Amino acid sequence: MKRKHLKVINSQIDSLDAIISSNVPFYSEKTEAMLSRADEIEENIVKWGWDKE
Amino acid sequence: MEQHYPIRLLEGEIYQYWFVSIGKNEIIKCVCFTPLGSKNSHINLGLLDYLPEKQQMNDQVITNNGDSRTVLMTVAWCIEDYLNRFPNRCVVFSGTTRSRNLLYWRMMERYKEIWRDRYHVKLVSKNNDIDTFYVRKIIKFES
Repeated sequence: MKRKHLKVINSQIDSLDAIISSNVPFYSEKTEAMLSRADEIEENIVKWGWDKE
Repeated sequence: MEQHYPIRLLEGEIYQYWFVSIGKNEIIKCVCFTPLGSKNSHINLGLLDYLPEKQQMNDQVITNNGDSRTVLMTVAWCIEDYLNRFPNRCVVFSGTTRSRNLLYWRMMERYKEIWRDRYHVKLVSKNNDIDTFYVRKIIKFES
């Protein structure tokens, strides 16, 4: 699955680095919902035998 | 050959792959891999956008930035990189809406020939709608 990088100009990289270094808070409702379903997800993984590969 | 955005990777308990989506606007995005249990065997994939007005990353945003294909290619690249680093882990994800899950499913079907020999993928449905995607790398043992 080799894919080319798109060109991104320096100002975009600078803004990205500024946000990363500022430690902005993360609000992920989806992650919270998935955390509450962790047992169900693990049960499925075990059911399919993916835990033994 | 498909294109994806350049990545800034932050390693840690939660792996973060940062990139800039360039469409109608420039939007900073982050693909996060968050362990769902203490065993680190199953990992949630989240895609969050930076909200300048709130100065936070959030996964409830619909940006319609006009580059969804490139964004999804970038997410696919992140999954591939993450599972190359942790081949025994299972990545799970679910879109925030029904239409997003359908979009993810269509993209995966479209590129099935590329990944089918290297990844197990399962879709779990609820109420006749796609609910959760599970992705795991196929580990091949040499005899």
